[in-house]
Amino acid sequence: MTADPASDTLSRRDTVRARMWHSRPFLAGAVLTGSIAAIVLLGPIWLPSTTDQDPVALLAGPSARHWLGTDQLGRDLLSRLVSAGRTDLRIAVVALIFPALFGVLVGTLAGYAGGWFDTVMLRLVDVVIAFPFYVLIIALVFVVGPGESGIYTALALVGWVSYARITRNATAITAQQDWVVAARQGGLRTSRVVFRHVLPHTATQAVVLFASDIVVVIVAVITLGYLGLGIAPPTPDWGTMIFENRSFITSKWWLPAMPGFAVVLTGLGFSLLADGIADIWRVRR
Amino acid sequence: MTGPVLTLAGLTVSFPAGRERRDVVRSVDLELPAATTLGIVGESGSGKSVTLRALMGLLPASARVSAGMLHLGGAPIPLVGRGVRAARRRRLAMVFQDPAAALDPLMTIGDQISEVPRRAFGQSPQSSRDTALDLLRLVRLPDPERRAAAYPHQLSGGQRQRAVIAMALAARPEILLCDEPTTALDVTTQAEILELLRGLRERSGLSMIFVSHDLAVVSSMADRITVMRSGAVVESGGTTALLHAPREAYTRTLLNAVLELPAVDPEPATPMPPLVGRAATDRLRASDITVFYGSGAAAVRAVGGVDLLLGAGRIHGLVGESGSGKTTLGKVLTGQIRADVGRVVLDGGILPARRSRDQLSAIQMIYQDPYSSLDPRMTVRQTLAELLRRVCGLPRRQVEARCVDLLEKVTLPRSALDGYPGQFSGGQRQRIAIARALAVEPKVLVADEPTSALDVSIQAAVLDLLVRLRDDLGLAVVLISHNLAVIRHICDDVSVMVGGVIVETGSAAQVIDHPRVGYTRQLIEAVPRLRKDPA
Repeated sequence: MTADPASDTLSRRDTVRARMWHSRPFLAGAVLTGSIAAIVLLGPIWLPSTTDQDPVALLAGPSARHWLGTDQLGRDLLSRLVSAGRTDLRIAVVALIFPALFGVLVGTLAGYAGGWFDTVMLRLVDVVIAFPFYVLIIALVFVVGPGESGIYTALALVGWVSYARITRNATAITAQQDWVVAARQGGLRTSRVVFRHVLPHTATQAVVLFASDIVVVIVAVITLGYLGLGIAPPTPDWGTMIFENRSFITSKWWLPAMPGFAVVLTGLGFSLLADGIADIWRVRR
Repeated sequence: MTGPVLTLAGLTVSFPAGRERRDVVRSVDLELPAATTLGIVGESGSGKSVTLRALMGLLPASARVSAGMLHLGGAPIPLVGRGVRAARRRRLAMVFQDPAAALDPLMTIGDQISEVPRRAFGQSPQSSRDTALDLLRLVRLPDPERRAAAYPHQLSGGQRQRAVIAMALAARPEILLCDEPTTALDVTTQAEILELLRGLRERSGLSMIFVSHDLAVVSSMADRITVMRSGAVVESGGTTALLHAPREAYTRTLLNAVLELPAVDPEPATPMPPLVGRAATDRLRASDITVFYGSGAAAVRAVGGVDLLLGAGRIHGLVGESGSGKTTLGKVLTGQIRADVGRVVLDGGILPARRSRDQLSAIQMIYQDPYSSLDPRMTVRQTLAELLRRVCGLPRRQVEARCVDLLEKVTLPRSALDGYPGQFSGGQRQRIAIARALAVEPKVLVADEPTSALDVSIQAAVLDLLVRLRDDLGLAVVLISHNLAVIRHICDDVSVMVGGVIVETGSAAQVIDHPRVGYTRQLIEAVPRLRKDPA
């Protein structure tokens, strides 16, 4: 039994919009990540500076002045939390977006052209994927040198592979579709065929991967911070905050717990968003 | 004649459609007298498959039966819910359209068939194996002992369908339900399977319900025919009466849409002068085309030394069964794959192995599946305008007029420009695909089974369109098809392919009405014809 295509009067755009409002993961993910982004971007306008020390309130509990209390140097915890989020999210997005674009480009070329380029790329991807992600990142940062530039370098070497592989497979399948064959037969340039008739159908998978992958990278940045290989103090970062406050876990539990809680919330937001986008675009994972 | 073995009254089935439910079958009545065959004919969306699934108790969970009574031999049988399967055991069995999907790929044929008597009748493993072998002999599967140990993928399509029929018979049913059992098969295999089903029916007194979109196939099988359309019965009657004097306009439309083949001349024709020189101009000439798939010792020859001559303003039919190499040849002509040997000459110029963009667009292709041949993310306007701007170099202000002009050529309204492919029916999409092919002003059109995925009533319109394009634009058309009636209907010349070789070439009238080669004759005789004479 097949559905009657003529009765499907909704255009593609309308159905995508309709699915957006009906996908709970998408709505929840969009609200959560949207709020986190807004707080992180706009919060510092009102909040006190992250380096201001309040000498009368060291290790103070939550109050009207300091909503989440202060740390052992009397710095406002909420300020530091928001500022740290801003740093961590910025680093994660910047560190991932370029490898992701590079991976999509390489994967598209390999999937469309095939041949030796495809073979070499796939072997290279296999080699990188053979190592556990976090171990590889930590080892690379250790070699390249800690700090922001170390994170960027490490991710540039490792981050592109999953995008290359997923895009390569999607491209190889899409390139066989009759509409792509027809576009080539029509006399369009190869670049036009690839960017207009192949990429729009394969990029959806990369976008969904990006939304879920960003969580992995945030956790990597924070792990590096905790290990002292990431953001150097006094710039706040969730990883260093957990490390600095780890000794207060029994007395002032919220000091190390709040940054952890922020990580979980951010991860949840992006994961839901990834699921939601996959729902809406009907991307199979 | 005793009472009916099956009666169905007022069947109404609905499926969810968005937030509401839609009736896909509405008040369908059927009656099957003992030892007869009832044919159900209808186009896609007619509800024929859903009706059959309801009889078999195989409706999906989303379906809801809001009305309807089924009686088998006078006893009421549930349509859904508990006990649907138990009530049908030993009474109903089904033969599916796709034999590959109906068989478990991980079990041997013999194991699958012997499982039925072992579970249903408690036969011992040894005697159930014997039963399976008997059944495989009954369905005339060659070399049954060896085939019983084979896995489904080791059998051909026709052999698989025989195995499926054997499995259906293993349950010793009173009624055999057949859902398009030959649609996925080649025409000669189809003739064999239909012959087998007729033989089984005569020998065992089996009753049968035979569902198909093909009126000719149904008429060759059925005593009575029920015509369905959009979920309801249009007309029911004896086969001869219905074909001779249809009462409803829709039945007449269906009958008129059947392209008939004339009877084959028993005498082989005297040799005719060769095709060369008869066309006004030779547009496309392919010589000694040979294509291998794979390499080294594993290489398979798909096309072997084929010559083809195509005149301007002529439609050349390329006919053959699956695996005959006709599609491969079409792809060589369009430049989608390279021939290992041979060359293609267009208007006197040899086309190189790596064609330029102009050489590619000079030969356009129409694809079989109208659902995948258009980019789903682009409107019709975007699809056409892209080619007009970037390939033809048309200035921006002329694009709109040319788009409308192209749509007119394929008889679509201007409003279609803003639609996405998903909003059109199969026939409309195929016309959009033709408009796209015409946009780059090709000299040759290669149409690969352009109507196979379409309903018969739409098929005629698309074929007429091809004929008009030939006459109005002087296009040379290669029509690849397994359907001899389609070829005979619109082609000027025909080449018959088998095993990668052309065995017979000539004018359509000559080749199909007076075939000279045994294979062609066999192919033409296998085509089911409307049975208008009383049986």
